Amino acid sequence: MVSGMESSDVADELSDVQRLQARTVTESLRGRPGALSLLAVATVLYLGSYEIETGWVPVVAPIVWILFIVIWVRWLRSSNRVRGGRRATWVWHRDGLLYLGLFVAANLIALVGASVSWLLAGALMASLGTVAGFVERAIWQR
Amino acid sequence: MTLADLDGVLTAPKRLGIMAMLDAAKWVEFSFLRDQLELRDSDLSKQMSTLCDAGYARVRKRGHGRGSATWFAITASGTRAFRSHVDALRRLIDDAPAAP
Repeated sequence: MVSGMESSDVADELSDVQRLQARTVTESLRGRPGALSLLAVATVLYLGSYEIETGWVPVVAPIVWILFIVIWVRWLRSSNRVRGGRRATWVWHRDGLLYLGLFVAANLIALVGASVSWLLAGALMASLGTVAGFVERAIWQR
Repeated sequence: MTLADLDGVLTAPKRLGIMAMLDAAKWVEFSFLRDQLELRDSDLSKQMSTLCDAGYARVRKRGHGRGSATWFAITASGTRAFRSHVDALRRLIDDAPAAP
């Protein structure tokens, strides 16, 4: 039994309420081991495929990428025992800023890809995704 | 502020803990509730029946056999009851006389 929940002390009960809610939200955001590495490899392969401008690759690559993302997201969340963790308003704002920063950085990387090398862009994008994943995980595990 | 302001269903610490978790998400799986609250399956089932009977929670079962899972969600009346109960607890603390 959770010790705090056995206590008749009101402060302990409220403290347990907060702790349990935090754990629930964290569980809803938990990923799988290796998920970020898999995404990084797939990103390099996908953006690297932009180097090939002839044949079936330019047609098939975007379809395979979309399929991969759909399957990856479903696989990522399938082990979670909590769905739809509620975030506080300030958390929505913080995550919104994080995603805005990612959007800007991703577009800058795409510019690099278009003008220098798509393989390099893939490597940069994979690094960006990995760093963002670690940052978000670190924030939620605090 | 009196003890009568507290919700009778939620005065049980186990049920308060369950409602706290349900209030933090859209759906919560049975095993997660059990593990976090360190309850036996039978005890959690009993507490969930009480909450569902009170209209505070609803249940959804997915799959059959080994892969099956039971999910719970808080209802609108459950959300109101839980938040009102927590507010009442906070007021209890606020209204408590300071220690000499």
